[in-house]
Amino acid sequence: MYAIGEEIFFYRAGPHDFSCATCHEQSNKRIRLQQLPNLTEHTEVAEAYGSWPAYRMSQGLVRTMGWRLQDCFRQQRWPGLTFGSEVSIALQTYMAVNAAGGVMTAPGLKR
Amino acid sequence: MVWIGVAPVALSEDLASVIHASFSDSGQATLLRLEQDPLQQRCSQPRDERVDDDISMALRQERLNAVVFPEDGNFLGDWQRGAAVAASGRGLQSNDDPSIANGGNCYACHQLAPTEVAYGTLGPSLTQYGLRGQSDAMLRYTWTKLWDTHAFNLCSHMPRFGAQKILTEQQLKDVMAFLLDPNSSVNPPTEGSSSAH
Repeated sequence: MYAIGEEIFFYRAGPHDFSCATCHEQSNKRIRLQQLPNLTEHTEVAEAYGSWPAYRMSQGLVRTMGWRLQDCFRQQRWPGLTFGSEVSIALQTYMAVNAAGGVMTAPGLKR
Repeated sequence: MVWIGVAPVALSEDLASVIHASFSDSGQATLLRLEQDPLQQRCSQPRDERVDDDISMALRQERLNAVVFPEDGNFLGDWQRGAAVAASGRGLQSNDDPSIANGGNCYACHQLAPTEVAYGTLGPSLTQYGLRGQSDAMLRYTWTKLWDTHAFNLCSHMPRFGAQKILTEQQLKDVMAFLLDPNSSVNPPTEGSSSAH
């Protein structure tokens, strides 16, 4: 599952050629004003992964990491990710393993 | 880990079927978008595992040869319209209305007009890009970067705005003017400059 997650993390597709890695394989970068976690780096992925599920203030709802991934793929211009699908689980496994040993801080607070 | 001189392995059937089983058509974003072209396939490796070999060179040359320059030879449109294209991040998402023009979303990754503070840092700052001038070489270089960045920098993260038809030819001309017009907000007069702004 981890290996599948890793392959999908770097898989570029769609009209914009975006993969997860487009935004999340470098440290100290931001999109507009939003800081982007480097999900290939232990400390950063531990902080990001450990903060979900999170309360999304703009939506007034608690959202899961599965929801966050679905919204990433929408922004990547990909088709709709199915909740609980193999890709969704594989990417969460990829992050969880990279984050192993980190501290859970959920529920996080997100803009 | 160093990845040495081996052509990228074609996607395993396993991974292809996992991907296809995990997504469904959503508005204009259909499953067809999951098929990779040779460039996407080549560039789906981690940063430190990409190789600069004959295949990469050939692919880059192929992208360069495929660039389409403006038919009327005029590279520069209206910088103010270009500013609007640079600021808009809409277009081609499953929830976007395909009948409305796409944006370039340049500010997601680049600093441009210094008056816009909400800029990203995935790409280099382009403030004062106009100082590079408007020689024929600069016009063709800048157009090519916008049309298909991989013609110069294979596996760049930047989208192929012309080659993938994200922006129209007119929008590209307007973005060109936003970058290069001396009066554009990207190129405000610097201290001590004597330009007639």
